[in-house]
Amino acid sequence: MKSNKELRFDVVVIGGGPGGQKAAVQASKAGKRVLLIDRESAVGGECVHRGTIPSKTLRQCGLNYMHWTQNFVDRAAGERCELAMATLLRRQSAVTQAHERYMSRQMERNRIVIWRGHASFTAPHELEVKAVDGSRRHVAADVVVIATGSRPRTPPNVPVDHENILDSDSILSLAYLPKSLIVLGAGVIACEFASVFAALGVRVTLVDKGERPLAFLDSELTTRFVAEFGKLGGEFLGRRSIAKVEFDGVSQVELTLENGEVLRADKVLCALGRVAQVNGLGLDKAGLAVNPRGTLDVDEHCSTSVPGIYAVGDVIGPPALAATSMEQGRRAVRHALGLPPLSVSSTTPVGIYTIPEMSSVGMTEAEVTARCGSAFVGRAKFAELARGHINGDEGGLLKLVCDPSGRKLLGAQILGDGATELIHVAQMAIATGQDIDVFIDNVFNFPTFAEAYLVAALDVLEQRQQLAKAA
Amino acid sequence: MPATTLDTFLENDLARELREKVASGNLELPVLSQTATQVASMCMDGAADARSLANALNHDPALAGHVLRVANSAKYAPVEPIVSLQQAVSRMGMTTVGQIAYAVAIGSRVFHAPGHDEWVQDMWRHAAQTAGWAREIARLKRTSVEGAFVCGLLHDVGEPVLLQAAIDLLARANTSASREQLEPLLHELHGAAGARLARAWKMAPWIADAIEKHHTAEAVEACQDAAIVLLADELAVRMERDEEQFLDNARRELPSTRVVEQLNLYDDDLETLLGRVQAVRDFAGALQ
Repeated sequence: MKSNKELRFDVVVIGGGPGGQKAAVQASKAGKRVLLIDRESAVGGECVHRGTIPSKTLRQCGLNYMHWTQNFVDRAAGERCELAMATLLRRQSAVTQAHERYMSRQMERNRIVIWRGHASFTAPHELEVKAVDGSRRHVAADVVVIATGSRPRTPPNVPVDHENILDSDSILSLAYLPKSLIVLGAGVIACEFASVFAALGVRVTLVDKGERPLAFLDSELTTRFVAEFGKLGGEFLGRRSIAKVEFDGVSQVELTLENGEVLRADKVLCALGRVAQVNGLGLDKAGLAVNPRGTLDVDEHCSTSVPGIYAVGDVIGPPALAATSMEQGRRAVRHALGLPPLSVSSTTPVGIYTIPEMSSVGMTEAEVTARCGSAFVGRAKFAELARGHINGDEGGLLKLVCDPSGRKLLGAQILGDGATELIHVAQMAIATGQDIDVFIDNVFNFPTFAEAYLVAALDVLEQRQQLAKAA
Repeated sequence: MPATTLDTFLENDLARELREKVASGNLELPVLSQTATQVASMCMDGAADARSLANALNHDPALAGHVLRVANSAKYAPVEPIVSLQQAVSRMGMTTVGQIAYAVAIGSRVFHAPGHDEWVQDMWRHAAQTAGWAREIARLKRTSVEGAFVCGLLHDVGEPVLLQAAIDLLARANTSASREQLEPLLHELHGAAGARLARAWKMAPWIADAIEKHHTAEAVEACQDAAIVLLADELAVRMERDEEQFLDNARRELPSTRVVEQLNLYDDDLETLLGRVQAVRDFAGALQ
């Protein structure tokens, strides 16, 4: 039974994460009347409250702490520098609140109406919104954007209790820094948390069934990442399958592996992927259904099989990055409103906020070799850069991947300080079709990590010259 | 002491002195004698293991609080506050925690509340149930379960402290008072008294904040830990008041409360939470 008169909006967005926000702002800027519905009391979604923002803040704290202890603490002389989790959480809370305020102002500025509640379809373009107090409102719209995000996946043999066995949400509110931590999984979230906690001085073991972590990345990068992780005191155990995880009732969690090994740690973090958040959405009433992977299928415009209903962000599956979700939100609304599409390059970078950072854009060496038969690869080790010495980052590496002629830049991969920022130079070069020589013909600031582009390009040039000589 | 004189004493002298003690933080946390004796005997015969010691300590929030205080003291100088017994065992090892427990059990003043035994037992029961609910709320909100447990267990720790102090002051004046006469004063001061103690024991600031704010409007506005304690407290009180009608009453009345709104608990969340009632009963029962 309807508790009030049905309202009508031009665009209704379900979910206030990065994808939902950008969809709402895009529609508002096009002069449409927009409603954004979110379950939480503040917009931002998992990204702001449990995901990107708090985890990256924790990472920055870990990085600062690591640099401080490496450079200014004389452990040999018995000096100590330890961190309290409360300090980290205070910083995390301050950053999250600042981001929340910024987003609220953005929504207000764009005159976006926000309803707090749980939305579910009653018909393809009609929704019921249930508030915390149980009251219900109804709304209809020509365009509906589903941006409900994702939540951590919990396999049946990992009894996450948010006390001793945590997920990527509950680990962000730990009451104290544990002495030891086992991280299950070797994807982006697992590797980010594993390296951050290792940098914070926790003894971390990363356990996964794969041979190497982050298998979608260039193997040279991941090999270096494992080595750097080891320098932080971490250990990667690949080709291991989980048999059982249980708390011993006193102070340790026991992880039994299928090969019989038993590992023990104060806490276990389960980071074995995420699942789309579609519970209670009433997708069937909208004529929609999830695919076998539990996500929604969409076309290149992020349009679902039902006209006027779009889906963006984690709810449509990989890459499930905040940056791509934002672009999808804009793209969906522009298509829905008949606006010209954004001229988005296919070279979307991937940023992984591990310590050290990793980033990739375009094709990897293996991909170019598979497609073109061979590839020219230029390398720059941060150990050979003045900035690398200054920053104490001598394990970093930048790779430039070119076509078999050694001229056309097709991809770049970076591991080290500032990798996620540095990658944009390569992204722009690829997007504008630059040859590798552009890095030789231009002057870079000194001392910077950007000099790595010059060094790597010179490496390619030298290989080209040797090849020419040999010919 | 005649009734009118006692009323004047309670309203003036006792209230003033207790307020001064709260303001100065000059209060001592009492220890339940039964558990204290059990822990002392476990440590003395050398047969205690980590599990049984932790279980014994968990039976007595006051003693657990003492152990946490000592674990946080300058003697052990942890850089990060020790907030749970599990953390204490993990960080300091069974032997050290055992020694602390032993020292506390032997050294602390055993709590006596002549004429108020039932009241003290009610306090422990309420603390245990609040701790149980706080754990479940934290689990539902995917936030620190251990932290919520400590906050729940100690949220009213100011009450037994104040009761002991009041009994001492009344004894000095050669009089006594009933539970009904003392309750309003203890209720007024217990948040501040508990927070003073938590701060004096160098517990994590958010624990002291949650203890202090759990009855104030501020709790449901700004501090999630305090909001968790407030809802846990509310659930525990309702459970104690009417065990049979507890679930029906909670389903009917809680959705419209500010604390439920602050914690963003929708009806399905609330149903999940209330579905844990037996787990809370079992947990609280085990603690008692």
